[in-house]
Amino acid sequence: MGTVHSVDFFDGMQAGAKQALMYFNADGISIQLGIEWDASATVLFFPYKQCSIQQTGNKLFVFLNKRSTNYFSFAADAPFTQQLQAQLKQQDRSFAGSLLRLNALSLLLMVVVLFGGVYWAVATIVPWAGLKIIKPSTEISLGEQMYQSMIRTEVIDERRTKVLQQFAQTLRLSKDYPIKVTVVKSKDVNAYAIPGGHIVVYTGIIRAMQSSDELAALLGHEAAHINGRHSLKSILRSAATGLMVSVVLNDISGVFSIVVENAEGLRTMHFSRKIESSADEAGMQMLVKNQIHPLAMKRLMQRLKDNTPSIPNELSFLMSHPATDDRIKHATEFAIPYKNSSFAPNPVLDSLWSALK
Amino acid sequence: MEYNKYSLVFKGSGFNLFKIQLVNIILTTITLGLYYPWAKARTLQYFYGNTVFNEQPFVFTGTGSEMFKGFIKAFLLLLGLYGAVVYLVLNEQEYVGLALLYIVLILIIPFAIHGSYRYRFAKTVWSGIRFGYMGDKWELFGLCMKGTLLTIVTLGIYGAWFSMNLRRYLLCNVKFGNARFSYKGVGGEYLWLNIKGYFLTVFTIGLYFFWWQKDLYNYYVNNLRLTKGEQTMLVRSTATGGDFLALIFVNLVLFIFTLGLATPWIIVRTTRFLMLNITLDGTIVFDELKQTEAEYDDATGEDIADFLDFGFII
Repeated sequence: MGTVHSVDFFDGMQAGAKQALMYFNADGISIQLGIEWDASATVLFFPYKQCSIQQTGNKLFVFLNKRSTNYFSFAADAPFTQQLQAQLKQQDRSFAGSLLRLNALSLLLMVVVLFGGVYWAVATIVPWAGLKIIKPSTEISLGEQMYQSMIRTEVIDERRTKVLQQFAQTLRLSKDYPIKVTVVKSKDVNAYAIPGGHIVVYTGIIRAMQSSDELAALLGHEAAHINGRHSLKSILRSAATGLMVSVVLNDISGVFSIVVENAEGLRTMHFSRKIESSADEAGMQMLVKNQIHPLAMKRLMQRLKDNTPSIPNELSFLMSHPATDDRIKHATEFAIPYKNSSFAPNPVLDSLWSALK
Repeated sequence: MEYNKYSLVFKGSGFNLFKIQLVNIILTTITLGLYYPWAKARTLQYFYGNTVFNEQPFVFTGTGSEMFKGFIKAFLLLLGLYGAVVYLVLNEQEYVGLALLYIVLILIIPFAIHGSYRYRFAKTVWSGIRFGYMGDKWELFGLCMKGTLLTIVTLGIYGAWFSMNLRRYLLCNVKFGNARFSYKGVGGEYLWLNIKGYFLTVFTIGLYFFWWQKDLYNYYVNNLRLTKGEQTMLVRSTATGGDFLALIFVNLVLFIFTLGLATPWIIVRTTRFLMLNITLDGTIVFDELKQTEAEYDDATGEDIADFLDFGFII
């Protein structure tokens, strides 16, 4: 038998402390009520497996049984403290226990890395799976519905629509999607693509353009959005990141949420700039395939720039559309290898162009 | 009869809570949320273990595995409910779906509160003595149904009475060994406190808000008492409006300048403040409290309450 220590014992029957004697060995803790050890009196034995220790203030508390509420306490500076703690700590081999023994900085770092990893995984997997699951045929029928609801309030230019449709067919814009163009009567210098194959062109932009190859560049750019499934990609992206942001914000609110949301907005903008320049590039490749000089893309952009109110370049990252100057630069660079190539004029496109004008 | 005075002390530190929360976040993330019950048990054990009353800490004897069973039951129950609602909405029965959702939730909530109180108090131990909740779930159900209906019919005004009746019912059924809590707050006074608080806050451009919070807190605390036979203990709050102003202001500054990282420290200093401002005085001798409650393990109510995201009401 080892040394006997005096402790405060709480028997789980009545609240007050009772004086008791305690000793411990390799197997567990033994306790006897009273102030003097009596070998013939009852001894309560508790194996370490059932026990846990906790420090509150300058006292230590040893809980003796998970099913009942008895425990004993003693001053944290008692001579046997370390020995008893060592016996009890050996029991906590759990993963959580070993994490808790790490320092706060490492834990914080782990959280940051983990969140970064989860964010990256979700932002990659959700759009990837979504693009696999949603077939082009589904996209075409959804796009048709979107087109019907968007076009309802517009005035369609039937004659120009027919001509432009012929123009688009000559260019062979898409393998996977039926490209259907619609000319809408409007002064706005604008054109947009709807997922699944519809391209809407405003008469304002046709009026602003000077040649058939600019129109080809415009259609090439819009068709690239359709072929690249850009709308679907950005919807899936915002769905994925929105999901994560809402999970995080459920716990953390206030200032943090403002930071996260703004960062997310900037990322979306960056993504849309990437999409625009990739559509420019695919559009120019289409021009080359159709024997049209890719510099037409640059001229188209110049035209659009002249027709939009100027925005200082420093603010370009705030716009939903990318900086035109950057795109012009990119288009110029793309055209460099074709500087000395000659592209024959395309009489079919030119005659359709005259009909449009 | 001897006259005693007791106070509560919270000895937790923000740093330790921060570490616990980081470990909980790591484990909950890598287990896709399944670790949540263990994380909750660890947090509760930390808070209880650092709350000291009459030199003895409280103990939360609940475990992650007990709560995990309830967690799964609650998860399946709510998954079934949301599944049914989504099915109805997809089949163009939006209104039926939404009605089903609200009705089932209103019906579930009393049982969730009941389960939550049973489990939480059965697992709360001080000085070896268990707390306990002995309310009847059907009585609570009736009270909640009446309260919800009248609150809707009176456009929210009855809410004050509902809230106080609920609190009274719940707290009057809480036992602490062979002593028993009681609460005597009533709806009329509570409504008046809120009306007064609201208008004075508007008139003082928000400044009175802190005194309004103080009034509400004091109303919760000062109406609470503990009785054991002929002995009683009154619970008192000593917090002032100025204290609340300082607390909330500093919390806000801490939160903003650390982008939320100081949250554990904010929680700790708030808990410390609330405990520090509660005193008990009266004739109960706590060392004489006797154990009356048996072991109880079912945590389903606790977990449903968690999923529905309403905190433990006290």
